[in-house]
Formats: sequence, structure tokens, C-alpha cells
Amino acid sequence: MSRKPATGHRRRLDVVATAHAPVYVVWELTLACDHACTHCGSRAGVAREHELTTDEALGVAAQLADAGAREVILIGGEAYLHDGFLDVVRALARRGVTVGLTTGGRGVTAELARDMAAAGLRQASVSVDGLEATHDRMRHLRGSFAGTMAALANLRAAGVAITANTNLNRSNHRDLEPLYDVLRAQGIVAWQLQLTAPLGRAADRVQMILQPWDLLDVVPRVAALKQRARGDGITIMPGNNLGYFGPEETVLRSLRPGDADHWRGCQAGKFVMGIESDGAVKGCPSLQTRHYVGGNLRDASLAAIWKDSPELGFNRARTVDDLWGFCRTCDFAAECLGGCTFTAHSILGRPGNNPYCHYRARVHAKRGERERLVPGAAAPGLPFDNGVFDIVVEPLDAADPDAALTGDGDLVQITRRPARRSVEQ
Amino acid sequence: MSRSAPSLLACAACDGLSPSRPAGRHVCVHCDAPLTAPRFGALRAIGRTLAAGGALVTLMACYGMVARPMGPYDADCVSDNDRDTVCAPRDCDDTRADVFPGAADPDLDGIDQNCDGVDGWRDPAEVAVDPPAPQMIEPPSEPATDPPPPASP
Repeated sequence: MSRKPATGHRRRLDVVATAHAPVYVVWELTLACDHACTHCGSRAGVAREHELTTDEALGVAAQLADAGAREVILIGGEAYLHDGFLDVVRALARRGVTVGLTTGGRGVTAELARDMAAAGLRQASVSVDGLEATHDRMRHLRGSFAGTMAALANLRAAGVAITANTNLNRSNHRDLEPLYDVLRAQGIVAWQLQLTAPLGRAADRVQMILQPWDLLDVVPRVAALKQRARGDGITIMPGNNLGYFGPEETVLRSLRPGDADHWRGCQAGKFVMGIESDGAVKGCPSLQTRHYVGGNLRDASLAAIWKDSPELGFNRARTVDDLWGFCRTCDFAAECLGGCTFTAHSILGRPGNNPYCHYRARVHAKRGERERLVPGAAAPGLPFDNGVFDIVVEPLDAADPDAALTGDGDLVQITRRPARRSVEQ
Repeated sequence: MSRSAPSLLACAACDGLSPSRPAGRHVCVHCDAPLTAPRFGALRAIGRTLAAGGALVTLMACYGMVARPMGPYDADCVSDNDRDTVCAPRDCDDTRADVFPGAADPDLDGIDQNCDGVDGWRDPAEVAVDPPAPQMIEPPSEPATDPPPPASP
């Protein structure tokens, strides 16, 4: 059998020995979307003003390859709604960059799936929010689940490796185990699970998000599911904001049984970069636009933004001294460095103190306590925005005032203040 | 003043890690079990892998597992030269990390990436002895959602 020269790179990266570079890039091609999900961090639906044109996007693709990008994940909105979507996939692939897609799947027809594969798309992660009723409710679209399943089938038939990703919250975490069975039957090879952080529209639905003590239940279930999935040849991996140094840490973070991988701190701006559809550059795609944009690709080169902007470099010299609250004194502070930056910021308005931590929840539980997130200032209503919460420590067995609202996955939307009255963060 | 990162020790009784405390007892912060030498030695030996694990998780931040997913683990693995987590003979090319069962296998590129014997994807039902049965989901008894939002741009 003839062999093509190897064009890919090893996927795993030695983050200790490797110089900082935008190796892994998540690129929002457009904010236009064919869903209006109730938990969408970017509040996607309508395209941003002044999104990059196809020609501009192709220029960015060339800059990414020159900067050392190995893997670029195209997102939206829905990336395929950008006129230049396939051209961008093709351009990246031709320059040796591995291209993936994260999608809700609604518009992934068999024809589009074949076109994507022909253009060089290697992998697609389809967002699935739960079993059919839950998924359709969260996606605010009856029939969305069926479309997601069809997308998985179309992508697989086109030769694209299919994976899934799910945001866990109080509306859907009960679906976790049966959803695994559904996705396994669809032929996924991997599944990423992360927490719904109160970012964007999720910040408007505070009853939807998990409370920190919910991690005492959710994290061990994810670990148990991961071990089960290994037997099925499916890799379950936690997203950046799930876990942190509980008794299942090595199971959660390792690919192989017996390995001892663990969380190593936020890598935003070190090896990860996010690009918004108007050319704004951040250290991670989920970081709050208002606080973490380091420049725009219409005004400066990608290399200059990466190298010179403090908004991109904030993480490169982070130490324990940048932490505060519980995280500052935690046993794992020096390894963890406060967990996921955007998640902590979405709760307390700045990073370095993250109540979404399994170890932290366990420490409180040993004391007979738990932390409750109490909404304070509302989010302004912009893409990748956040409100601010207070943390209340209360008895572990205190009544849960939100429990009655979450039994059927109800989504309760708070009324947002007018933007001009929003609390400055 | 910054603290240097302490080394983490592994527990024999659970899957957690614990910080090293040179002046104190080495017991697991989760279950108080001793932190044993075999796991400790294994942990130190894979220091580079630990680092890579951090990146592995980071790059998947909230947007799905990217690019080439890792293949399934072989419990009786003897040789995995390409570190794709699949061992020969299940891995039909143990020198290429992009070749393993379940890998993306584009048509007509001359490579059987997914080790199913052909170049390109084919239905597992044609090659698997017991393909997984499709699972039907009962439709909700009542309308579960509001009407769809207006068409997107």
C-alpha cells in the first residue's frame, strides 16, 4: 500500500519543554447560528458586525500555519454558515494543520459532510445536551436532537471521526449515563464533558447551572463512566472546568488506566488561542471578550498579538500569588493555579478563585459545609459576558431553594438589567 | 513570593494525588491511605506525560475533543511505539500515530487509517461481528419545547 508522507503532528504536547506558541486554536468563523441555545456562552444566533471575509480568513489561516498552529477547531455560531468555511478548511489542511469542527449539527447534511471531508476536515465534535427531550429544550428547538444524530451519521459515513461534547448542568446531568449509551450506539470515539459555566445566556439562567456541591455527585459519576467507556473503546475526557484533584483525578485526566495525568493549570495564551469572527484574538475561545481580547487581526499580525499583548500573556507568568480566596491556600494551589480562567471569572468577576472544584467541595463537605453561588450583578447581554455571584457558605444539609425548579430541567430566565446599569466588573 | 510547585504523590487506595509534605506524613488527602512507592515511582517516571496531559485537556476547552481522538487502550499492550494508545496487532501501523482502529479514514488517500482493511470508511456492520444495535429514544409525550426560533441569518 502506498503511503503519503506524514503531514500530521503528534497530538500530545510537552507543555514543560515547549516554548509558548498558538499550537491549539479555536476559531469562531461566524457568530451566525441555526440554533439559539439557552446556555450559549457566545449568545450566538446573529453574525457579528464586520466579520472577517473569506479573503481575510484565508490570510489568517496562513498566519496560523506560520505561527506553528497544529490543530485548528472551527466553531461558531455554526462555522459552516460562513461563506468561506470550506475554503478555510482546505487552506489549513493544505498547510499541514489538522482541522476539526465543533457543531450543533443541524445543517450537516450528507453532502456537506462529504464536502468537509474532501476539504480536509479530520474530526468533528457534535454538541449533545442530553436525551431528546432535554436536548431539544436546551436547544430551544424541537427536532434538534434528531438533527444531531443525523449529523453524527453523516459525518461518520463521510469518513470523519466523530466525537461528542456535552455541557453538564442541572437541566441535563440526570441524562448522563443513558446518553452515553445513545452516543456509543452512534459510533463516537470520544466524548468531552464539561460544566456549563454562567457565561453568556447561561448567566441569565442561574437555576440551570450546577451548585458547587453538585460536583460531589457529578464528578464521581463521570469518572465511573469513563472507566466503563474504556471497555467500549471510547475515550471520555473532562473539559477544562470539570474536576480538579479529587480522588478520581488520575482517572479523569489520564488516557490509560494506571497513568497519573492530572490538571496542570490553565493553558490559555500559552499553547491555546481563540479567535472571534471579527478578528479579535484571545488566549482561549471562552474567555470574556471584554477583558481578554489582546488585539484584532485587522490591526496587527497574529504573531505580534500573541507575543506582545498582555491580554494574551497573562497566564504565562501566573503563580500562586495570583490566586485568592480558598484557592490561595489550597493543597494543590501550585499545580492547579485556580483551575479554568474563564469559569472562575464568570462567577466572581476575576480569575484565581474557582468554587467549581471537586477537591474544594470535598473539603467543605468534610466540615459539614457547602458553598452556594448566589447571583449578584447580572450579565450585560453581550457575547462571552458574565454576571457576578456571591459565595455563601452554609450547612451541607441546608434546603436547596433551587431544587424545585430543576426537577424537570426547567429553565428560569432572570430579567436582565439594562446594559447601561450593568455593574462594572 | 511564589511557591514552587510541590511534587504530587499517588495513592495506593484511590485514584487521587496528594501534595508532598517533606516534614509530614505521606498520607492521601482523600482517604488517609499511605502513598506507596510503586505508584510514586511510576508517577515520576512519566513526568513528561503528565505535562502533556495538561495540554491535552486544555486544547479541548469547551469546544469538543479536537482533531485526532486517541484510540482505545489495549489492556494487554506490549508495544505501542507510536503512542496512539492502540497496540499492535490491533494497530495496523504501530509507527504512525494517525493510524489506529477508529481513526478518521478519508477515501482514496492511499492509507487505511482506521485499520479496517480498506482505504476509506465503511460501515462497521460489514466488518464487525456484533455491531452495536441502534437505540431508539422514546419521543416525549408532550411537546417539550417552544416553537423554533426564527430562521437564522
